[in-house]
Amino acid sequence: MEYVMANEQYLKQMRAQFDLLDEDEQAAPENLYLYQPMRAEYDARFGGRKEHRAIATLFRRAREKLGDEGITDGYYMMALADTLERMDKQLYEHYRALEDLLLEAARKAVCSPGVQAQYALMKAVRLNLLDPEKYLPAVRAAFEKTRCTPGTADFYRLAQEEYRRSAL
Amino acid sequence: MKCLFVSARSCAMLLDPEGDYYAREPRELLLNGASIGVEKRSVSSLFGLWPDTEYTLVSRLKDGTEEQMSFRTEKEVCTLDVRRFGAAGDGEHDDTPMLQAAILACPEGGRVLIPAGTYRTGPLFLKSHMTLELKKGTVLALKTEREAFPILPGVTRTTDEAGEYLLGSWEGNPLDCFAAALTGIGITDVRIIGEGVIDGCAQKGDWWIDPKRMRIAYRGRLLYLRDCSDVAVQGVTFRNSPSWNLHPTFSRNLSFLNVRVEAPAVSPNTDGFDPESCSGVRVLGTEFSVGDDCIAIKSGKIYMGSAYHVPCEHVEIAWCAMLDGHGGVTVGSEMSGGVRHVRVHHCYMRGNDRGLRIKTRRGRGKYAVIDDIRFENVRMEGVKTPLVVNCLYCCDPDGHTPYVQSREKQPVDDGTPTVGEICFEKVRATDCQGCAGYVLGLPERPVGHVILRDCDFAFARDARPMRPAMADSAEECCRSGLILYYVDRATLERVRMEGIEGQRLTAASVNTINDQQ
Repeated sequence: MEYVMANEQYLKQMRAQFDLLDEDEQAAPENLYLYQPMRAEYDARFGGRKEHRAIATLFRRAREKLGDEGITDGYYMMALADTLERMDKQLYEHYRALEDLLLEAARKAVCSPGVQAQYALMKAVRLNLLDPEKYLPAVRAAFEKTRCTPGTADFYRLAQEEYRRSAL
Repeated sequence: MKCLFVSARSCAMLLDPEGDYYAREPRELLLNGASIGVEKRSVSSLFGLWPDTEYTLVSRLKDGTEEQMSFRTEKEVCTLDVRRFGAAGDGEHDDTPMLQAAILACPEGGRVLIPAGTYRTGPLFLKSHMTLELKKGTVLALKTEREAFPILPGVTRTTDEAGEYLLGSWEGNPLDCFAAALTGIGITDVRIIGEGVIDGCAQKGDWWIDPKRMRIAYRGRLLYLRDCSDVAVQGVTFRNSPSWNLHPTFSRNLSFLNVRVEAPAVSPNTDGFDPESCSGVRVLGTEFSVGDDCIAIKSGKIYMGSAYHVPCEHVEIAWCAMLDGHGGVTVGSEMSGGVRHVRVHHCYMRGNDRGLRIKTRRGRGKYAVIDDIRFENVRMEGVKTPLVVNCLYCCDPDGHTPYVQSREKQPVDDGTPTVGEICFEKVRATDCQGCAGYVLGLPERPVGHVILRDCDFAFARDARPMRPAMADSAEECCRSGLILYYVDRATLERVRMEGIEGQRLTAASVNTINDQQ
């Protein structure tokens, strides 16, 4: 999902769908990616930033469930990058919690990132969350070797846009 | 009489230790036998002195009583006049590169002199072992276009990603902010002296418009110090800052003498002086009239408190005037590293909402310990409520949630702050409005010890009701005595109240009260 300034109605609907999930479903990487960025955006723009603590708690729980080997999951990394983009940095302790999780994942993923991780890493560099000198060369090189397939077209397109922006 | 500070070109003297901002009576000053005028304040500064020279200062009262002391000014290597670097001082020309060049070129022990004139400038960065002097008639007029301001990044990860390098700061968090009019990073042995003015010109730009919205970076200050030591500021006037005026952070051995800080009453977040996680701070003979707290002693929000837990401690505030402003001396609300050993004495406060204002809340953290805060010999006129301790301060996005506002006992956890001992001694307050004091502790961690000794509170006849503390459950009060909730010990000795309505003391959930009228 590209970052666009979604309208309040849309964000509210996404928020309501998220509430229907149980705890395990909420922490699943795919659902993290589907709902947390929108939840953060709604909370920052309309919700009084009352849910940033809960968002950070949810990501910590997801990290625990993924274990050390699972933190390079593409959806998980994309969820972190997209949520960080929308959070209010003034709730720094919660923002920082997600940033540290992303850094942890980045260190592991940078050697051979899949297309979702490529998107997340290049976006994180653009958001000043990762050192460009350390991460960008390897991630750009990985993207240049990546082929777009029917199953990954959406993610490839997102990564392609970040690749284009990282060259500027 | 006592010498408080000497530089190569100036000195600051304490003339009347028992006065407040104003001496009990004015006195004539004679320097090396020649009269230099009459001084009304308790702390006085002399400028225009010559380096490495012996001086004798005599203070003479009306009845002829004299005190005398001698001092020697420091040595000076040389003076660099900024006009020789091409600074125009005409209010039009952009003098930033010229002023910065003079600073960078200044040798150790040298002085950068800014002669009278108006110098249009962007932010300047100081370096160690130098004096910067703004002569009388000098105005450093800060640009207003934010694109002209360098940004101080909040957090930069170290190359090995094991640590971080902090520069910028905003309201207790390490966030990107614009550089200040004068910024010092890791500097030592610096003096900023003179009778000149540093004008943030915020009223001419858009810093005060839609102030809560961050545009590019958070608003800068007029003086920002990060990890500095042995810095003295004497005599300079700071006014119209984009946000807080003077903001030293993680710094040690700082002196502010005869400084003047001004901002309009309606200007947003223009705190006068906000030392944050500093140690060894003196603010003497300084006058504040600003749009927010005059002095707010801080130590960061929860991230900084947890990661670094550096308290703000050993702070002396004396012979100062706090005029208007929300709080005379405030502790918090960003105090997650702790605040301790603060002594405010011989000060004059007028028209503030609150004299001593302590604000904290659940979530500030286990290192958020406030202790040993003392007010002694303080005169208050028209201060609406002289003492407020509020542990349910409704700040931050969750400030109105039950977690913060509940008066039910919550579990003590890593988010619970602590308030220890607060002492008011020989405080005289007239024309009060709300109540003499309002202390609202936490039920799960009451305020340790509130001491009021030899204090007088008199209320205005036309006092108006007010909420004494910014907590959802704080009730309005008018001409009330001392109100205490969730306090472990309260000691009242010779506390007099005049013009109150109702009880002298209202206490609930206070374990021990020792009230000797």
